[in-house]
Amino acid sequence: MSELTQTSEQSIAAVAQVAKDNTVTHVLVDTFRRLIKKPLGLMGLILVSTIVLSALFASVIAPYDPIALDILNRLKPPSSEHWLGTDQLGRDTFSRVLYGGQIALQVALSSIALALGFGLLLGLLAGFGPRWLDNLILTLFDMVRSFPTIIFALAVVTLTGPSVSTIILVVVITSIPIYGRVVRTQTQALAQQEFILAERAMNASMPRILFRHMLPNVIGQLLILASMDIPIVITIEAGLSFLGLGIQPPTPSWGSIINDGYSFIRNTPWPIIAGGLPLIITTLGFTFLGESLRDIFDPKLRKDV
Amino acid sequence: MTIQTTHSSNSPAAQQPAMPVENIIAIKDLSVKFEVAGGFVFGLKNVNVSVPRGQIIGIVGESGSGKSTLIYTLTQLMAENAVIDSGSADMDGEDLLAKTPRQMQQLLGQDIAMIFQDPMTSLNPVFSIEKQMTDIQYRLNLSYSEKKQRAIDALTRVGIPNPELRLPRFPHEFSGGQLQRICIAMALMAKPKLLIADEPTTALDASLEVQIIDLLKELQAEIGCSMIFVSHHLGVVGTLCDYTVVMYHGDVVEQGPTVDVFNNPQHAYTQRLLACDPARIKEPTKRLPTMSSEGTEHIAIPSGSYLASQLTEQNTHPENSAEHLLDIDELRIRFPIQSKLAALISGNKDPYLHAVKGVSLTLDAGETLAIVGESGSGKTTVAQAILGLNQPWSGKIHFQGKELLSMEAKARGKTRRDIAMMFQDPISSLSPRMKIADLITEPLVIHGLPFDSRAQEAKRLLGMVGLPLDFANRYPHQLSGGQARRVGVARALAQSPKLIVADEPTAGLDVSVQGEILNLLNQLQEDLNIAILIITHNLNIVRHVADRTLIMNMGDIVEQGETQGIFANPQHSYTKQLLAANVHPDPV
Repeated sequence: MSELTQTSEQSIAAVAQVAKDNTVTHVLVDTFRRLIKKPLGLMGLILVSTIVLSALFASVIAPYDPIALDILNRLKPPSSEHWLGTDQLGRDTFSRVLYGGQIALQVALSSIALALGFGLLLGLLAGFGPRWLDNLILTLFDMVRSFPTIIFALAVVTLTGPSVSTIILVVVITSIPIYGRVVRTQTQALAQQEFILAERAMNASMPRILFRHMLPNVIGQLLILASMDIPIVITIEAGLSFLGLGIQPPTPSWGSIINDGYSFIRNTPWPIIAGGLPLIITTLGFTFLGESLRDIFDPKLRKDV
Repeated sequence: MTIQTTHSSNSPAAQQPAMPVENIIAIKDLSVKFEVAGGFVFGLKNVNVSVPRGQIIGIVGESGSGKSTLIYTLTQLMAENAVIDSGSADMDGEDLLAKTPRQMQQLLGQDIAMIFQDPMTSLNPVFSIEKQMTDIQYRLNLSYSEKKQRAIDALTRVGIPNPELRLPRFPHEFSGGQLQRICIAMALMAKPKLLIADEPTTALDASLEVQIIDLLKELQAEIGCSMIFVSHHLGVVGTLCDYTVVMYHGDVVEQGPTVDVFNNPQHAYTQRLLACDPARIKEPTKRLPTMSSEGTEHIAIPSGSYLASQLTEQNTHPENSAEHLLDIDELRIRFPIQSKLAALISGNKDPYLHAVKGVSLTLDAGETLAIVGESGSGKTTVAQAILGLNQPWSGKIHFQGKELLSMEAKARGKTRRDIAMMFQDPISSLSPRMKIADLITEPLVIHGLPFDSRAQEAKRLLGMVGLPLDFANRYPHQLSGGQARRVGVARALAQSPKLIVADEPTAGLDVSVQGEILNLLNQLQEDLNIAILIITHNLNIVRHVADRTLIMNMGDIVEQGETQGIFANPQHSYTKQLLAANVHPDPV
């Protein structure tokens, strides 16, 4: 058993390492360090921060007022004055894309974060809780999913009036069942496993089992799902805005840029390209980020231990 | 190597004893390494093994010794990160390692057939046996009814009753033993030249093990194929194989005719391996020899740990002798197999599976009781009832004088501080996203017990069970079975329980690690006066470690008493049958 012997200095260092590893700041710093080491993670981080920073500092970066009209210069292709051309009312598309990012990120990030949180909680409860709770939560999920999103949105808008928060509300309510179902199925599979039985045998409390043992095992898949949902949410926002249920003109959003461009596709393709580009960058960025984070959170996929 | 025809008189080679042995497989200087982060790990180091035509060769070794790597290299089924460093593996003069995947496809299932460890998962669950058995005959130019008839004949040969009726059934409708028979039938239908069996009896009960081995031996002689039989069970290899290859850390340390290897082992590792086999130790002993020692070393309870603080207290408070630590009275457990409404409609008055039918037992502090039975006997169900993991239907469980089943959930939870369970699968019973340090100290946190720091406590516990301290930072999937078992012991002992329920504590371990784990439990039992309830089907270890033994069959206790008495003079016919099924450790 020579492999079992080692010097005491090493072991003290190992034990100190365990104590250090458990602080929140250390986990964050450690995650960041691992993220930038992965090519995919670094790429995701760069793409996401580009989008986030340009949206945050839109008022500084944007060369024009996003709602200022210039009818004489309508539907122009990209030029040195208008980097991404102009739309049917002569507004500068580049400035509109920058400002549109604010709405897009506000809607997409907040609604997905909320849907993820609620979906996770309800899914864990349904998967690990008593049978009646599972049935109740699933029935609720099915009821929500049985409404077409647009019809559901129309009903909500009639009650609350069109606004950004209405869009967020609609997206959150219709996405919770998607996350919830994924979490529930995984939780049920985990609940059968011996390590959960072992925790129960030790008298571990339900919150402890759910949040310390189940959660880390289901979060990876959810991150991927959530990153791939971002473009879907942005298109839902665009669709609702198109129906006049969401963002009201002339406030720019990526959705409304694409929609406007669609009406004038015979005249120029540039508005659609300009509106679609940030959508692609955002989706790629968050997918890369989500995938890298999943690998980092899963010790089996983490190669450098 | 000269041929020794000990008992395979049917094989072609045996008819010409003067001829030199013809090898079907000749592995020369085979080295395989695995690519890991920051370098390579050797899986096989210059392995030279020959498989004589028509003979059975057994490969033994502990987990990680390279025996699986060897057979998966032969069949090109290696893990993606495996790299063949050097060497060749000739089958009938052609190098298997040089074959393209397409050529390999021609060979596998035709000239080379395989039987895997777990019959439950090696068949596709969504297709019927008929579909799977006719499908593998795709190479033959036969009509469907002819293929079906061949499948029926094969099933008849391996002893599946009513094959015509059973053929359209699905894998989950068969028992484990029957499934392994079906796998054997499928493997042998093509009349392969070489059969590779990877631990084919490990997932089966002892009595089934004997039947499967007899079947394999019969069929091998009938077809005249060669066989590579991989196992960590020395008894099985001794009974079945003509030749034995002993592997250790990727090296072949010894090979030769089985009788010679078993009776006159040359290499120190083989000698120790044989000495460690509890089945070969005639006199019952609580201290089993291990690879590194004779089992006499003393493990120190680390000072300053929570365990140490309990050590003095427990020794000054002897148990009240009039009262048993654990007293189970007429425990009955049943599981519904039909909903109440469905049962009412179909008129089924007893829609339950009676898993435990009135079990009574007692256990005192410092005592070891073994519950022995085959899978499905209800032994694990009893253990889980003590821990409150299922709802007994009737009966009483007294622990330290208190009745557990009528307790409120909260009070019941508190009793769990004094009862710990070691689960059957050491790795999957550890939460996969947590570090070992957190896992082994978790019981202390859950029960709110005093300890100075998690890191310190983890260090002491790891030291006690003989694991290096940097394991504190590892995750469960980075451990071997034996290491995970030690973590399981540390975790069970952390809270200083009065009773440890150990479900198959030696499952999947090779003999020397078995001895280490059992010695560890035994010594801590002596130091801390812990009662141990061992649930197992491994009779060889029960004979050594248990004070009393209880034999269960189909939810009933058929016999109980002092272990030595039961082994020397079994009363019940089932016990006799069980003891007879225990594979004899020496070659015939």
